[in-house]
Amino acid sequence: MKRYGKKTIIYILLSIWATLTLYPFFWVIINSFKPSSDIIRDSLSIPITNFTFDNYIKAFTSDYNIFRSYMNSFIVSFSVVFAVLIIAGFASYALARYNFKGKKLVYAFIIACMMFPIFSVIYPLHQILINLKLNGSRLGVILPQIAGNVSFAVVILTGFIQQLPVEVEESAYIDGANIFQILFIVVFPMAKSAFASTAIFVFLWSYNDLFLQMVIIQDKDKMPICALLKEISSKYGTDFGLMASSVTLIIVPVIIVYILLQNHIIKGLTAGAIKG
Amino acid sequence: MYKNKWIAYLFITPMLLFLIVFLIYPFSVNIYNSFFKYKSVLDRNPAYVGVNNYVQLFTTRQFKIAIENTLLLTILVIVFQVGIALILALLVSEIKRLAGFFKTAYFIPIVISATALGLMFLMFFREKGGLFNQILANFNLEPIRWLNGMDSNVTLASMFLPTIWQYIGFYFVIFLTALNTISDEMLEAAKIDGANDFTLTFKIKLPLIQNVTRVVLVLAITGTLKVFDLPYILNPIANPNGETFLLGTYMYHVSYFANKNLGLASAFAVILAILGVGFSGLVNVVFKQNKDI
Repeated sequence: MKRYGKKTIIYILLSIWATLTLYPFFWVIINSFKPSSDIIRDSLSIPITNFTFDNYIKAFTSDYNIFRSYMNSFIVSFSVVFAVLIIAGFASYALARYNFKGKKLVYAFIIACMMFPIFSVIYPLHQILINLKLNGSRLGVILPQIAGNVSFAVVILTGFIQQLPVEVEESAYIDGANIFQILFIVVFPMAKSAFASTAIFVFLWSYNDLFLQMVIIQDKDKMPICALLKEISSKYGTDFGLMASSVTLIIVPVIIVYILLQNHIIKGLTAGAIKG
Repeated sequence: MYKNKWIAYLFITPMLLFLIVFLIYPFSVNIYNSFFKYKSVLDRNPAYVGVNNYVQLFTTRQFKIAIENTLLLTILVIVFQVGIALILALLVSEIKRLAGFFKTAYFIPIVISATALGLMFLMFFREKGGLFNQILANFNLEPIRWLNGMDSNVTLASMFLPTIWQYIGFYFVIFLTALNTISDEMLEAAKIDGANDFTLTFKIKLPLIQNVTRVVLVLAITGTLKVFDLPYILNPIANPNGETFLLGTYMYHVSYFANKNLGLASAFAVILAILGVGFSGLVNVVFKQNKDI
C-alpha cells in the first residue's frame, strides 16, 4: 500500500511538469485557429464555433514570405552542417591517429575556442565580413557559424575515432588503399553514429541561432526563419492571430522531426554537451 | 602508416583557418581596440588610453546592473534549473511505465528556437489579453505589467522564467542518463541493508553521479553568460530604464547602439570572454573530478 502511494505521487508530480512543458505549445497551436479578438478575450477555450484559417492565410500572403525563409534556413544550416562535418572529420582523424609537433597545443586551442561566446567578437567579425563583401549574404552567416561549431565537432569526433580499432585501417593500408580511400571507405562509415549526433547538434544550433542571422542579414528575402520571425513580431506584434500562426509554422515542423528522430536528437545534444 | 606528418598538418589546416579568421583574429582586434578611445565609429586616429576603457566600464551603472542581473540569473539557474532537473530525474528513475514519454516531453523546449519561444512568451506576458493576465482575471485578480511595468524585479522574473524553463529538460536527460548507469544490484543491496529513500538518494545516488553534476554546473553557469535570444526578444531595450540588461544583451546594446566609443565595447567583449573561460575553470576547481568513480 505504501509503495503504491509513493508511485502515485511520483506520477502526479511528473505529470504536472509535463503539463507545464507541453501546454504552452498546445496553447499556441489552438489559438492559431482563432480570430485575434477571441484570443485576447478568451485564449483558454478550444476553437469550435470560431474556427478559422485566416491567420494562416495572412501568414502566407503578408509581405513576409515564410516559405522562402525556410529555404534560406535550410540552405544556411545544411551548408554549415556539411562543411563542419568535412572540416572536423579530417581534423579529428589527424588528432586521433597522428602524433605531430604541437598537437597538445592545437587541442588546448580548440577547447578554448569552444568556451567563448561568438557574440563577444561580433563587432570586429562584422567588419571582416564587410571587408570580404559578405555582409548581408547567406555566406556571411554560414562562415562564422562553421567557425562557431567546428571546435565542438572536433572534440566529439576525435574522441570517437580514437576508440575505433586501428587494425581495419592498417589492413586497408597494406591492401594499397590511399589515405582518402581509408578515410571515406573505412573510417567515416565506422564513425557514422558520431557524425549523425554531431550533424544534429550543429543543425539545431545553426537553425535556431538568431544573433548572427539578425546582425548579418538585413534583406528580408534572404533572412532565415528566426530572423524573419523577429521581424514579423516587431511589425505585427499586436496581431495575436498572426503571431500564433507564425510561431506554429516554425515549431510544428521541428516538433515532428523531433518526435521521429528523438533518440538520435537527445543523444546528439546531450552527448555533445557532456564532452564539452 | 601514421608517419607522414604533413598529412596531419594538411588535415588540421582548414579547421585552424576558420577558427583563426572568424574567432581569434576578431578577438585580437578587440583586445587591441580596447586600449583606444574612439570619438566616433569611423575615428581614424583613436587615442591610446591604456586601461581607461576598462575602468570606465566598471564605473558604468548599466554594466554593474548587467553583471548583477547575470549573477542573479546564474544563482536562479543553479537552484531552479539544475535543482528541478535533478528532482525530475530522480523521480523518473524510480518508474518504468511512461518514463519514455516524460523524457520525450521534457526535452521538447530544447529543440525549439529561443526566438519562437520568445514570441510565444510575449503572447503570454502581454498586459492586455495575454495568457497570464487572463488566468489572473479568472481569479478576479488585477492584471500585472509583466514586461512593461516600472518594477524591474517583475520584469526580470518574467525574462528569467522562460530562460530557466527551457533548459530544465536538457539537464534532466543528462542526470537521468547518469542515474540509469547505477547498478540495480547496488541499490537492492542497500535496500536489504535497510537504507530508506533518503539514504539511497543522498548517500548513494548523488555521490555516484557527482562527476556528471560537475559537468552540468559548468554547462549551466557558462550557459548563462551566453544567454541572449530569449531576453532580447522579450525585452530588447531592457525596460525599465535599462535596469534589466544581462551581459549578453548589454554587449549587443553597447556594440550597436549605446555609444561611439568602439574601445569600450571591445573592452567589454574581452571581459566577457575572460569571464566565460574563468567561470568554467572555477567550477572545475570547486567541483573537482573524482577519479574514484
